[in-house]
Amino acid sequence: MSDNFSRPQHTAPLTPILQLVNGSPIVLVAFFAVGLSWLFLLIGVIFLVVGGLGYWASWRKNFFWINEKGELEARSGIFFRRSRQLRISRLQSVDILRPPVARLLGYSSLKVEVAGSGDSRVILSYLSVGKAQELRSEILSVAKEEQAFTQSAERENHWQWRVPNGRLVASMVLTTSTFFVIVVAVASAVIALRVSGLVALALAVGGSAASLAGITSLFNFSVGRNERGIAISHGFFTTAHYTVSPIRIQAICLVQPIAWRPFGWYQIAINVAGTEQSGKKSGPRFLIPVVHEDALPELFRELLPSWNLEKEDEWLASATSSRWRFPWQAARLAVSVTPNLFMVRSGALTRRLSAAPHERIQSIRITQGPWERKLGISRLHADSVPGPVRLNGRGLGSSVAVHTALEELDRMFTARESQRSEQW
Amino acid sequence: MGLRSSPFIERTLVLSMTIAELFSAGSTDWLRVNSRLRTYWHTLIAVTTVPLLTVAAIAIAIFEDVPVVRFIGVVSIMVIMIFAIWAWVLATRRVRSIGYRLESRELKVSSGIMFRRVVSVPFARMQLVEVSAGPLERAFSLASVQLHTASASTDATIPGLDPERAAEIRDALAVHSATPAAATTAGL
Repeated sequence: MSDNFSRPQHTAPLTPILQLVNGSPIVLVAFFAVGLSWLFLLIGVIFLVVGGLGYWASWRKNFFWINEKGELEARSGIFFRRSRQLRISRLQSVDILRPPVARLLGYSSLKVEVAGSGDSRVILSYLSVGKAQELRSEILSVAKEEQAFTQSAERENHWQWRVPNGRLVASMVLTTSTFFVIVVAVASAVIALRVSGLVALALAVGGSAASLAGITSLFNFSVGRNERGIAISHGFFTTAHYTVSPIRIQAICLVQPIAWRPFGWYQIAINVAGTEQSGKKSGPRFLIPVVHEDALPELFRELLPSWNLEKEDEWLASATSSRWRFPWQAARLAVSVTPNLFMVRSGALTRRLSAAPHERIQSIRITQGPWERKLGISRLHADSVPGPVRLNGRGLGSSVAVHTALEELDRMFTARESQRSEQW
Repeated sequence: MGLRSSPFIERTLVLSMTIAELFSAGSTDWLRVNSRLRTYWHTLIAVTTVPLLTVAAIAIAIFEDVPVVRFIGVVSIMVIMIFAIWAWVLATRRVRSIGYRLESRELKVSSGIMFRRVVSVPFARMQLVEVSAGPLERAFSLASVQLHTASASTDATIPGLDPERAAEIRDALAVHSATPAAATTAGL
């Protein structure tokens, strides 16, 4: 273990400049909007100087180090001093973030999260990439030591899966919503072409670009497995790395938009516990954005060994009357209680298969609106932590819903106790 | 403590219950909330609608000559009145629709007239029990108990409880959250 981080130290000296560049696009935009008149240049320079001095002053007061108690301590604040200690033994994740400007200059931020509510997160900006990686492995090794491991925490993936960018773009274009946006953009462009070719082209390009912009954040997607858990990293302009302990994956959903069916593609969305603090999402939403069905068995074997979705023979189908409420998907709506999982099947155009282990379901709800009451059907919700996956069994006959709810509750009571050994 | 029925009785009861019983909280086994909740809701409706109506009336009085303002004012008064009367009339049934059961391993809460719901939260999933009472609630000596889990969609709130009752429920729940999951077999 190196002694590198045991003494208080600053983040990289370039930090104020990077923060200034990050914080001043408004000033820069104002320059170009108004034109380079002397007055505005002066105001801009004053802003930059004052802002720069402010950032520099706060940088000088920022320290971080790993103290003797095995805590990551971070001090900040010019007028109001603030000191935070994160217990590394309770580490949830340590992620390297690379915002665009910093990335160009070879800098990155380190986001450290520990278990616990409230003030449980520190973002250190900015560190050189080498230093960020060093600190990250230092934190990981402290965490390991605390958990009575001796081996050094080398971040090496034992298994890894990469998503080709070409397939990612193709799959995203073929999702129902993106497809419609592009069609509308191109169609309106074609119609408007007679009015003004240039404006129309800009519209089409802009519309498509806006919908494609989200895709770049999923570029270079890779998911792997190391000692700490499941490692997910992605991003083109801003790279994100996540390390998720498998126990924190609370629910998964296999998604297949209609246009993916001929290609046999699937997406796996996940709910990860403890990633949403005060409404802000900070965790991964996908285990994998697109994958061919042939690779699914391997993926499940490596990443989700205890999730057995195979047993599809005991589906409890929706009531026949539910087709008056869900005309398209009534035939597909169903729930299933397997020995380990609660599963929900839904979707006519975009097919979904959601699943959650009994021990990770938080509560069970049955709801019924007036129309559903007329049809004698109810909804059975299995509540999971916030995230993209929702387990929502619709169109079930009311007595089926109640009995399934009772059975599921029984499983939830017993599953909690027998679980626990499923650590990584 | 009369909060819980014996596990055996409650089990057979639940299994024999129809969906209607489960939803309506009509069976005697569901504990009801205090009927003062209705008066509280009525007061809440009055407190929120009267200022709105006053503002609308004043606006009409001032801009008597402007037909647009008069029209908007009259329409908004009508809309507010309709909603207020609707909520006023339904308050009784809404209070009656709320029921809860503290069972051996879970809390069940049921509510709703048009949109009905039953939620069941196992004690082992409970993260936080919150007893709250706003100023107006305190004036009617009412309190609510809310159960939080790791899921944001768990909506287990029991409104309209006597403060002592709320404390009783909180203490009963706190016993469970303090003991780890393995102790659930302890029963009574």
